Amino acid sequence: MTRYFLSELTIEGFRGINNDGDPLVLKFKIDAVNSISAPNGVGKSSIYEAIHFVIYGTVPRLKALQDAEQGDSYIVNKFHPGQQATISLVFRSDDGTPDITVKIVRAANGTRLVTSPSGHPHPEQFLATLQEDFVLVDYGRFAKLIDISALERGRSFASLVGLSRYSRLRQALDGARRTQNINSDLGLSALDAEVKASERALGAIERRIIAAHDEVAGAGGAAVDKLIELKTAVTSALSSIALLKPLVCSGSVMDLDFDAAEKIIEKEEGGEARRKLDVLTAAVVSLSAISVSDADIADIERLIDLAKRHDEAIRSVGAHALHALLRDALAVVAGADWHNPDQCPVCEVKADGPLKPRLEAKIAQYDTAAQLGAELVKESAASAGIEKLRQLEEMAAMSIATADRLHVALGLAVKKGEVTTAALEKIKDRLLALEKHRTEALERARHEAATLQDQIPPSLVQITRTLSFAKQFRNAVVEFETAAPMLRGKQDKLQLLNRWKTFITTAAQTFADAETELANERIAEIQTSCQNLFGRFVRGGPDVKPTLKRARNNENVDLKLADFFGLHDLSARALLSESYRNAVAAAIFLAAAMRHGGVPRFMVLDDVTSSFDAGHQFALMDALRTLLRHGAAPDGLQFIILSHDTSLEKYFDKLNGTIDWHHQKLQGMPPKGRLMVSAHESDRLKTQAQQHLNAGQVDIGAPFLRQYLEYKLGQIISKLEIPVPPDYATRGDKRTLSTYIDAITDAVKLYQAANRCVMSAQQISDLQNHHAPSIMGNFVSHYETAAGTPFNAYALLGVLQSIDDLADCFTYLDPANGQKKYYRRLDRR
Amino acid sequence: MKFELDNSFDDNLALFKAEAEKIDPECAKILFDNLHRLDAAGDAGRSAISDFHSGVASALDALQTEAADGDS
Repeated sequence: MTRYFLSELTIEGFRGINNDGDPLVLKFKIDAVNSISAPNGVGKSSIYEAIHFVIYGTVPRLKALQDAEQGDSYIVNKFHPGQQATISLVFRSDDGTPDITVKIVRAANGTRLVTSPSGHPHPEQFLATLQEDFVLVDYGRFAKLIDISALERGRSFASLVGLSRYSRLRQALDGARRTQNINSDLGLSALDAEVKASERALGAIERRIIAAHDEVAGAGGAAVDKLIELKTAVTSALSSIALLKPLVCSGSVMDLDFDAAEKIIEKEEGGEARRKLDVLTAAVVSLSAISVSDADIADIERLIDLAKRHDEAIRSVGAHALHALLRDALAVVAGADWHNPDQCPVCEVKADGPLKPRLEAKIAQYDTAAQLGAELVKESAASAGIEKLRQLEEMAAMSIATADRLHVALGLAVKKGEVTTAALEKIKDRLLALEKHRTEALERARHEAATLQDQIPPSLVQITRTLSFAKQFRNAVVEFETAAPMLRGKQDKLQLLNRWKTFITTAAQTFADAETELANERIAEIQTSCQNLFGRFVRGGPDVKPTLKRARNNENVDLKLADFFGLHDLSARALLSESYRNAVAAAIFLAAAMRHGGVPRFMVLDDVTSSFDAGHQFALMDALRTLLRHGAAPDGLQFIILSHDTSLEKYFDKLNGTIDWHHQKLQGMPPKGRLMVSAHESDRLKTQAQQHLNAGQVDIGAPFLRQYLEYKLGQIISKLEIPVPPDYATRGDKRTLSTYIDAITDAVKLYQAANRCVMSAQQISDLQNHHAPSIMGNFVSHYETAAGTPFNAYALLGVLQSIDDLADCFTYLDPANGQKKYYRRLDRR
Repeated sequence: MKFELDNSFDDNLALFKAEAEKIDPECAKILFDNLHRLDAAGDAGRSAISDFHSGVASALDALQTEAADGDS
């Protein structure tokens, strides 16, 4: 696979970098450690954000802002006249294939245009291949890796070793196979309950068909799967009755006009008694066809159990108003402007850790309670027991007044989503009472029907009775023929859903098992190199052998110390100091990055050493340079370090120009002015200063002059290896210039006193009597103390000349080519 | 099934697909037709899973209709 280094970055109009018409250009060496230093506020973070924006399309700091703050409107530099950000990157391959150049233009209206001047056909896809977690690392990522939970660390680690997509997919599949989600999204449990209820209802219809058939055509062997035969038998029985024969004719019981048939019987010998017998016969049939079974009671008891669990969940989380309060508190704590993530925004008490995960856990409890409530409503709507209640209450033979029907009240509660335990318990009691009432009503109807039958002529009684059962048969068959296909559809759907559930459960587990094994292999790969790197970073300190351990059944990764002063397997988070924790994180990140075989072959480190002890800082830099960089190791990476640390800057200065280090210092005036690389741009600094001072713009010209002076003095110190005091690196910014000048003039005095100074007498005199005093008196003293007469443009132009003159005091004319060259040291050319 | 250390994610995903097809080819097709809804989820948020399930529900409905048409 072709891998890519980052060889050039060009930025204009992005975040703090204006550079209108004159983009900031940073060139990186692929086989050297690249460092960029700048004081805070000069635009270093904008460089990190620019690379992030190119690769991910976002700026994390802006994305974290709340919507009202309109973070995206800060992507383009506010002072750029074109209101457009342009970032170009050149990627160099590690196998000789052509460079890839990608250009991103972001307009103020938010459009992002990605093109490839080098002709890559899919620049967006190419950038997506660079989305590996080790590519862009800042201090926060180091610190987080140790301090987060084992599960979060597992997921972070997965992304670090190139397994982030596996981790994301595993989590997603876990969510997709969760029973609660399947029930809620696909309605599996509700459909299951619905199918059971429909099966029971259809069974009751079947029983009514058989019972009516047996009454009309005689009992024996009837089965609903032979429905055509049953219809024929009933039709034939009706045809055998002379009074009804003309109506049945050659048709079927299903087409018989029962009203007409009843009228014929009425006409033959009618009256109130016959009609009453008809009603009683119908009542006997309907009351016999339905009964409250143990399954119905069990169904209601299941709902009661669910309702109690819902009640318990509600009780455990407290009032609904508290839910809203927790959500508001989470919004505050998660906001970028909340000063302390450990402090409660309501009571201001500080906890012993971040509040966000606790609030999220508490809110999740509410969500669970809400989900249980929704489940209860859904299950109640599809309950077979409640359906039985409805049928009994609505049955005319039961004579239940509308106002007394409990299922009506429950239906309203379901619609409102307010099903309660008490209501369900009442329904259970009502069902039991209705069953008793049904049995009594059935007995009564049978008795009254028998009495009436004795009073009506036997022949008509039998015909009336037969016709009534035939009507029951016809009605039940119509119901059956409507309900059966619907039930089949539901059963098919349920079978399909259960098949899906089985599949996704098995598939998700298969994926999880394979992912765990893969992660363990990755951990084993980097474990040794991680421990070696850590030992190197903390050389001289205890080598505690940090060890990563992945859990077997989940994504947790524990970070243990294999050897803590003879004790084994202890928590790294609990025992290590901050600098050591960061050293562990650095060792893990770098070991993982070195093993990574993906497209990016570069790593950008932004202020990652903020909390490192100085010794650990330098050990880390040394390891990057001698062990991990491309050029030092066969699989080495290109490193780009962004830092504002002044101690490290001296280290960078010292190594700059060697084959394994390339240092650049940023200077300029962001966000309105230009940002540039001082080493390449010193002449431009001088030109800028001259232009502004000649135009009388002292406020703008003076900072360029200061930067130019700092650069030239630093150059003299570096070129002539002039010794500097121990606090050279740590003095405040304002004292930097006088520190430089003092170091230079003191060194010259020393060599002069020893009679070993290589400078001419004239150079020494000019330095001591003219140029140094002129620069100090006319600029540095005032700059550092803000005392004395304010600057004026004329005096500062004089200082600019004095700077070059002072630098000339440390040069000689090379006889070989007639060009000025710096002395090699103060005592030799 | 075992993911290979040197494989790209897509290559290992192909292994998973083959394994899923062994479990149930029709369900595997539904899973992979809708996998982008899960893969794009990032944090595997609940809404992404709901979105995935809505795709699954449509596919299962289509499968049922197809089976019913085949029967008739």
